[in-house]
Amino acid sequence: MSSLRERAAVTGRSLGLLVCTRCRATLRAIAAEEQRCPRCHSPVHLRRPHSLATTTALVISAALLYIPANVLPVMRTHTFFSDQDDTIMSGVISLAHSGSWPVALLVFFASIVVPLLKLIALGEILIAVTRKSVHQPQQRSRLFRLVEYVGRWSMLDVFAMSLLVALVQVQSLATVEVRPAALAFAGVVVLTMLAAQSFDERLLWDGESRG
Amino acid sequence: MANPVADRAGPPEEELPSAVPDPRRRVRLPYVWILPIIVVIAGAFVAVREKLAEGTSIEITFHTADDLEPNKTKISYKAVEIGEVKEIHVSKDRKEVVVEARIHRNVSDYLVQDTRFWVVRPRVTGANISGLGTLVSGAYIGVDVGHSAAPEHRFIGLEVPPIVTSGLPGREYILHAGDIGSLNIGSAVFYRHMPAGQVVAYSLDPGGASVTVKVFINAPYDTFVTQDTKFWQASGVDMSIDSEGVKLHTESIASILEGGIAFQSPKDSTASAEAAVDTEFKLYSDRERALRETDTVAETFIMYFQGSLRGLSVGAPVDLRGINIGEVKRLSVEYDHVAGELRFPVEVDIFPQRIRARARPSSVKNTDLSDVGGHTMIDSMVAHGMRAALKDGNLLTGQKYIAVDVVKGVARETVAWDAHPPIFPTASGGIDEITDSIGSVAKKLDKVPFDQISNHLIATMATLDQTLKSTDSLLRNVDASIAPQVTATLKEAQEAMKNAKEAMSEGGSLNNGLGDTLVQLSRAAKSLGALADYLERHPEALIRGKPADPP
Amino acid sequence: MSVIVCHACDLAHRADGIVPAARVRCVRCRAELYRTNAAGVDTPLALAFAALVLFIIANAYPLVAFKVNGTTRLATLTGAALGLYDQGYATLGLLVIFTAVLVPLTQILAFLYVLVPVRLGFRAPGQETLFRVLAALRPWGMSEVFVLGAIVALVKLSSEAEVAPRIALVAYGLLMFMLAAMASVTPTEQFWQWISRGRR
Repeated sequence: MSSLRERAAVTGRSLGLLVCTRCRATLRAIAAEEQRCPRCHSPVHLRRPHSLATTTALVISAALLYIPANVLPVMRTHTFFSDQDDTIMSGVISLAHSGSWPVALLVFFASIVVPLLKLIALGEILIAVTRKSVHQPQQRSRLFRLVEYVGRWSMLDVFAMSLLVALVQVQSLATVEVRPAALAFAGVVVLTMLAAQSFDERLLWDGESRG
Repeated sequence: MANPVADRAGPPEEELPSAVPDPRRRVRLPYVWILPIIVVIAGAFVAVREKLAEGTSIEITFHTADDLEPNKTKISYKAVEIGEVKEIHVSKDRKEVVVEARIHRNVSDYLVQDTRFWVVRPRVTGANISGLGTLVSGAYIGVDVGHSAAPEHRFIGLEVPPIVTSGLPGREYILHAGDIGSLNIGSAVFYRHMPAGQVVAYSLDPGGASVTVKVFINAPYDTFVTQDTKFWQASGVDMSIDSEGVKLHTESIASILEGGIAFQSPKDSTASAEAAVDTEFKLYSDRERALRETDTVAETFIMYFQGSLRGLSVGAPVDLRGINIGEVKRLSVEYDHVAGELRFPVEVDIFPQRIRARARPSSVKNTDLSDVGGHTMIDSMVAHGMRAALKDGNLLTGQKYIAVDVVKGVARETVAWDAHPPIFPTASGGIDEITDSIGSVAKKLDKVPFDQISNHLIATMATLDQTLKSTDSLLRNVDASIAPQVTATLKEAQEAMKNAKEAMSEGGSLNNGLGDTLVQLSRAAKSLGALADYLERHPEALIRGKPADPP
Repeated sequence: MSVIVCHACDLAHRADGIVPAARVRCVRCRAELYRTNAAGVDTPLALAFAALVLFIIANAYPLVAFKVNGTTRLATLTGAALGLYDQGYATLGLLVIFTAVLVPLTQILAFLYVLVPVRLGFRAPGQETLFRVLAALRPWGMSEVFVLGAIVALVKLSSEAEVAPRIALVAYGLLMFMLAAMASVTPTEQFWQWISRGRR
């Protein structure tokens, strides 16, 4: 490994080789505007075009949605006696109060911590890449992969809510109503997922290889 | 040193048999296929189980699908869920709603021809508030399982829950009335104020002149319905303010709200056999009319009264010293244009039977039973001075009644039998008495010398005032002159006490003397005591004296 | 190809033939370059069939039963998504349907479409397109997240009233495992090998 670091790493770019993102085939680049992978016919590029711009836009939108998603109520429970609004946090607290605190912890991590970490991690990566100061690309790379993998689990609150809405519809005893912040929350999850997809991981290593 | 296989020397190739490829293509599935096979079997198992558990499909037609929801509304029999509504759609002729439901398999034998279905919703009908639970749990479809043997899968739903579910013991009867009053389906039927049944249905008779009401009387009350039983409308509050006062009669609060019917057999009923199902009865408009003994004979008379007829109403009683012998039938106005005056004939019905029925047999002068109309009896009464007069029954309400009684000093009159209807002689009424008595009271009050009394009172008050004033000055006197004297006296007394104290104290003049005196006293007491002892031992000493001391 | 370029860090590697039944990683960033396994086409195919049956069960029957006040409410998978749609949040309903129903279904069907011809030895048109579709959909298949979400919902409700998981939930849980297994036995390189085998 150290021997590799000493000499400049040979990148595919320097050799004029591309990798197809879909099927991971290694291809020879040709001088054309639109290139396609011979194997799977998907468009191939040296680097994902507009990766930084797209990712930045998505991360910013997601960050904007994160505030209302957590501050405004995602769910309203109508009972015979009262109407109760619940934000994600209050849902976690009520779960903890009713004794099932492992589940409360799970929801807390999945719905509040994970999206926030995703935003922070992606933000940090983007800033680093923009400033072309890519130190420790290995750690960043690991962070990025973690973000990519873990992102989808934030959806679990959305699925739980869909079941609650479908089940708790006993007229005049209790009904559950979805509130707009749920849409914002789903937006955060989807947008961060799309952001992770649109980010070209190779950009992290470009600073080091300079090939 | 291993020799590679290729270098091994061996028999020449031609001598080696060449392997024959196996022509039969053995299709050997790898073990992994067991997994989907298991899943398919499990899936089939689940599917079959669900299908079997599904139950029988039925169709119920209603006018509206209000409160019914597909896949949600349940069907319950005696509060046990036996099925669910699956689908709802409008019928082809767009007049009805067809509800497709699934009934559990184990109760599929409930589905017979006379099984009935209806929607249970909150219903408020006067006496009856039902289905409130559905406000919380949502409406459901109620079932009444029939007794028929023929299975059925298409039903016409009832729009209203049936009053009587099958199997309820009791009997249905038919009543006829002039109008429905405040009755409704579900109105209660009472027997001696106890709820005994319900109105099940009513309809207008063809021709529109009367109403038929069907009632269901629950067991065991149905055993009290005989051929003689009378039914009457016990709706609301029967309040009559008449000459006899205010009468309030009601069966129950429910009947006030909802109307009701009551029944009872008259006291002199002779029939004892229970009435059969669907026996027809007349529905009377009130209790009195129902239980009244049938008066077969009624004699109509006209009476002309002086003064206003205000307060006399149709149905007002004709009273013979407290006994109701008839009632007012009609009030009208006559204008005699020849004489140029207005007359007010009052048409009354007299029931001679009532008079006779209550009379003691010996006092009945006329035992001629052929005198059905009681003419002879009435003539005799009138000859004795019986006249009809308007009397106040109730000062409060101004209700009047007709009193028939002997009036003193009245001119001879007879009943004008030739008029149609006959005219009964009258006398003036009783309002004058009252004005008289009021007048006398007023006069008496007038006589009381209120002026003098008040003057006297004033004088007394003045004197009292004076007295009080002098008392006041006296007290002031006391204060001024007597008080200091008293104070002086008190001071002297204080001085005396002080001296006394000094005298009493140690070294005081009194003390010494007192001490000596006390010693002497004690000595005396001792000797007295000795004497007493001696006397006790020698009581004779009192008489004989003390014997001389022995030497 | 004698050179393999890492898709994550663009580092060029020498490749001398595909290593069978191994997981080969990038020297620099440790991203997986490719993976092969010795299993035949049968394994993913069998898994795909099992997954299909499980999918049908998971959608045809209710997931959860919720009993309160004598009323039992059942929720199916599509019913849950429709519930969101009914309340006016069509986007959310679509999202749930997409990630929990449509993507897994497409994955199963695409698998079958590609692998059945391979197994039976003929070539079907559009296999490459379907591969692209599968690759694109992979991050959006959230069946396992749905199962966890369902568990969270169950726990939330169990404190209020009686809840019971139903057959569809079990089926969906098994489906989740099937899909994961299917993904693990069909790495990209292997997939193309099979497809090219079919071409012959």
